[in-house]
Amino acid sequence: MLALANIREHWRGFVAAFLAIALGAALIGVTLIVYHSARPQVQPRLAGAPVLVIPPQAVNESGTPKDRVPWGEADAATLADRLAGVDGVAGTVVDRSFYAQAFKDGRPVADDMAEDAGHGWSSTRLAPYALTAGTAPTTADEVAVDAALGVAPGERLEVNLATGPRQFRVSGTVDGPGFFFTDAQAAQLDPGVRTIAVLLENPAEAVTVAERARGVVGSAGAVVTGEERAALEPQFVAHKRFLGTQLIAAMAMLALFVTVFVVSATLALATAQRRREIGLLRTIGAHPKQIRAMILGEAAVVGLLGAVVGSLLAVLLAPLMKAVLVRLDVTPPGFAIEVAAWPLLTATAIGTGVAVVGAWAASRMAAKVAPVEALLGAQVEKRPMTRARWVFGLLAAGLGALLAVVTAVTGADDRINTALGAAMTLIVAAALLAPVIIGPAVRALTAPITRRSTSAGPMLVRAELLNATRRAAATAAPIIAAVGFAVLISGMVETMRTAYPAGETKKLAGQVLIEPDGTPGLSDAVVGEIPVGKAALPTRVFLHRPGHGVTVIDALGSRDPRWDKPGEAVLGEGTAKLFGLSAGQTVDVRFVDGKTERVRISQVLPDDPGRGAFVLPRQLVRSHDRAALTDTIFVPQANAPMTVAAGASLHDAESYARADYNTDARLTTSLAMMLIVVAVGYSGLAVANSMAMAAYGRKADFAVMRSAGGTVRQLMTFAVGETVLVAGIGVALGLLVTLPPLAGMAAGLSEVTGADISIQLNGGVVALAIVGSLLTATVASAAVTWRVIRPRTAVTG
Amino acid sequence: MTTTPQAAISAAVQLTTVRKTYGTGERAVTALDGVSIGFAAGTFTAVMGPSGSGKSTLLQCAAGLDQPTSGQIHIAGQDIGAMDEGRRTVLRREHIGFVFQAFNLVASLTAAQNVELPVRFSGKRVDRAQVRAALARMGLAERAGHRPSELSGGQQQRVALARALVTRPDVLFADEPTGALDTATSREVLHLLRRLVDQESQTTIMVTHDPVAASYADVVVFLKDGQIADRILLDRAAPSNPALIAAHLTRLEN
Ligand SMILES: Nc1ncnc2c1ncn2[C@@H]1O[C@H](COP(=O)(O)OP(=O)(O)O)[C@@H](O)[C@H]1O
Ligand SMILES: [Mg+2]
Repeated sequence: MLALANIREHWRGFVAAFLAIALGAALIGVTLIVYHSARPQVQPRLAGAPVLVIPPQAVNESGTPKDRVPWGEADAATLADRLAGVDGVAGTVVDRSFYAQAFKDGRPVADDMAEDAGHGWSSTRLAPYALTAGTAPTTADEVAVDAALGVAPGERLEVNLATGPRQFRVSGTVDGPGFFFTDAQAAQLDPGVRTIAVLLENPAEAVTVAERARGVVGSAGAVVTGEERAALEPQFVAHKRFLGTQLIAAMAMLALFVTVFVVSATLALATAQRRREIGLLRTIGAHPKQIRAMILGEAAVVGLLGAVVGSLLAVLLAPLMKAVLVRLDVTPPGFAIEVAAWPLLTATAIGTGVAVVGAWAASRMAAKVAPVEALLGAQVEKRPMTRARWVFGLLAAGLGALLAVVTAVTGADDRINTALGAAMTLIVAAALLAPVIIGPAVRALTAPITRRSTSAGPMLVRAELLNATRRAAATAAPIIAAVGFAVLISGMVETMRTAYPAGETKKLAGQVLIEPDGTPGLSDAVVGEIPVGKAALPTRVFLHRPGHGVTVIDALGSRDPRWDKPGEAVLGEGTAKLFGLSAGQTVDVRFVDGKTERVRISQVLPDDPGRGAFVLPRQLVRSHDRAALTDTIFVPQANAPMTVAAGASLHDAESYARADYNTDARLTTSLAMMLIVVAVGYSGLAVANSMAMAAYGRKADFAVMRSAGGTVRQLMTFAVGETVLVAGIGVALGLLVTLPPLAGMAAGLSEVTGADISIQLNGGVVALAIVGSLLTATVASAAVTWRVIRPRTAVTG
Repeated sequence: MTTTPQAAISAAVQLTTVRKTYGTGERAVTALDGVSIGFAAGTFTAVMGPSGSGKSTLLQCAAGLDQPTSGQIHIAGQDIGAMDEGRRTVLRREHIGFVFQAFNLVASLTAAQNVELPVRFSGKRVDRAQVRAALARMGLAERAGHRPSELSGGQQQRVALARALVTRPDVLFADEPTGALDTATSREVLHLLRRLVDQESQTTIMVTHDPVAASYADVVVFLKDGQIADRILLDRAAPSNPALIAAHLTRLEN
């Protein structure tokens, strides 16, 4: 009863919390809706295969299940035979997917799925795809292709494979995407098997047949049916989803943080303004625990309302987010928004929870209000800082400093997140420790004015702020967050924009680069034409890691004469340590074709991303991963070729660095813009709200000042003066907290790139954040003050 | 004056050498300076004294709203200094009603809801009839559904009284309950207080600076500089009590 009545009465204090939670829940809801909509789908080409058998999974370096370990050709054949004997099975198909791409007129035909477009003819039974013309391929020189490609049976077609372009005769066309070779040819091109499809006599029996199949497969693999078959999605789809998810996850994280921050700041302010009322409740028998429960209950109700509104908002915003993600090209193909119940319910629950968490500090503060405070004439603060405030403030400051240092030394992938984490903790620290700074700052700033001026304004501002530093801190908190995030995020992007191309260009100086052009990678034909320079062939290999089992890592096939020694491998220190290996030992390496080779570790060298963590002879990798493609060839300027083969293009170091960064930058910049909008939008809201609340809280004071002869102009000047001062301190603190993470980032980038990188700020965003915050604060405060004092303006001014 | 421990326990509220100091060092103010006093059950005591003499502090300490710097306070025979804030809250809830000058009501709640509040805090079931009776006793039966902003000052103060009494407390404390009211409304509230003492033996302790208000009491205690300066018993039948009290007060201030 009380909580609800209070919300009705003190709605002003809850507006910002409500809006922040609505926005937060909306963003989290959108994130979850997008996440749900982008979840792996069963590939259309497997639509007609209700039961699939897939190999066991290996774990990655951090122990999370990752790649499946392909069966060797013989193992797959045996398993397929045994499965064929299972009751209710009509047949089995050994399914393969490998790189194949049509070239027309010497140019690659664009295809997102090229890396997984090649299959054996049997795989057409999985969709199933039917012949629209011609026949199935019967010889190694024949291929059946998608009718949409526009090539008629009997015509010749150039198909690029990992080894290079080859002429095929089109034997027939089918009504689905892909290049279908004879099964024997497919096994030749990609011996490893990642899927065996089980075809059924009666499709309705999928579950029972799957159960029987499990008995046959045992630990040699997993049997999946229905939605589980989505586990087999192509690499590029997974990668796009990863990019998109990362983007929105960062936004949801920030939204979560800002929501908690805004809610706790505004509720702390609201509670500080209600001390007398809380004291009254205490005098009439409220237990501190009941006060606490009341504040948390209010937050829960406001949170629930906000979260429900936010979840509904999420449904409206999801298509917008989809448009953004599609434009950034970070969605799986055929991505469509699908609104399910769980994202909305989860967002509602999170929103409500966030409100309660945000009210935690306020509820503790309220529970400590003494009954006598109901009897005190004016609301007074005892001390600017409590012990808890000191402890948490200093802890946050320490953690933030630590994260700023980590930002300097961490890898590129984590740098943005660590810098954001550092900024978040430092913003919390600044907000908590602000009362310490506000006292001296106010004294120093107002001293010259109060000494000279005879008017009441400066004296009042000074006295008010010095007496209520905690309230002033609560008012400044959202400004700290707004300015802090805007400056930090834009600064990060700006710093990276100068750092990366500079560093890359420097590293690549004196080289030319050959990059894929219209293809997912370079074939051996392209590599073979350019005999000098680094042309690493990437693959995935499986090693036994003591205590962790089969572990998958990246390996490179190198043609660098230093490492390219038959039967030998070079390891980076990190990888050697991970597997407990040292130079001179031998190790069994399982390849994607299911075969295992024993190699000798010739050297363990310091980690160097340029060389690779697990380097094998190029020929060894090629013989076991026949579908692998080379990413880039690095050629010394002196050996630069004049032209390159189809599907590749030539770059100098600088244009390569810029192009390479631009693809990254497109994502980073959009991420940054989205984050800035979220952080600043929210905090702006909180700024306006706290200023308005502060002005309302003053109602009684203003009445006293009016009766003491203050004119409207004097009071307005006083209110605006105080706001500008508090907002100014908030801006200064906001700028201050961005320095450590930015400095950390610049230091880290200098280290990595070898170039001298200093902090770069985005002048426009910095100015906008400062002016915007000051303006929002001043306008909100002036407007509300005006409303509060206006009714009695009939008096002579 | 010496009080035996037995006497201390038998009084509704007993203060023993209570001292209260605000602030520290140079800015320390001694608001109560070794006050020992008992308030007998069923009596109406007025506490008077010049502004700043420690009246409010005495009341807040006696009601367990604030902690004395030293000394003991027994309420209903229990030493409240030995309790933590939670247990003190429970004790106050069960034994004490409190009314002060202004800001007595929760603005968001109706008169009836304000009266229910202590019952709700104590976790008991709200007896609507009891709430209605409490309001009716204060002549507010018609106003149960009104918010404080829709009530006059005197009505607000009577709602506060109804709320203070709804739990049937052993002792009612009132700090200048008529301080913000006009003369006629003050009378009403004082009559109500007197009737409670006469008809229901409600132990009442009231701080006031108004001799007329004090004349409704059985005992008047005078405070000066945080010490008890005087204590007079009033003859309820005498018509000249206000003048008598005013004279005492004047003597005290000189
Ligand atoms: N919270 C407080 N902090 C500091 N001094 C106080 C406080 N409350 C009261 N005092 C001081 O204690 C003395 C007694 O105050 P009080 O009990 O309110 O007197 P009265 O009610 O008789 O006017 C006064 O000098 C007053 O200034
Ligand atoms: Mg007083």
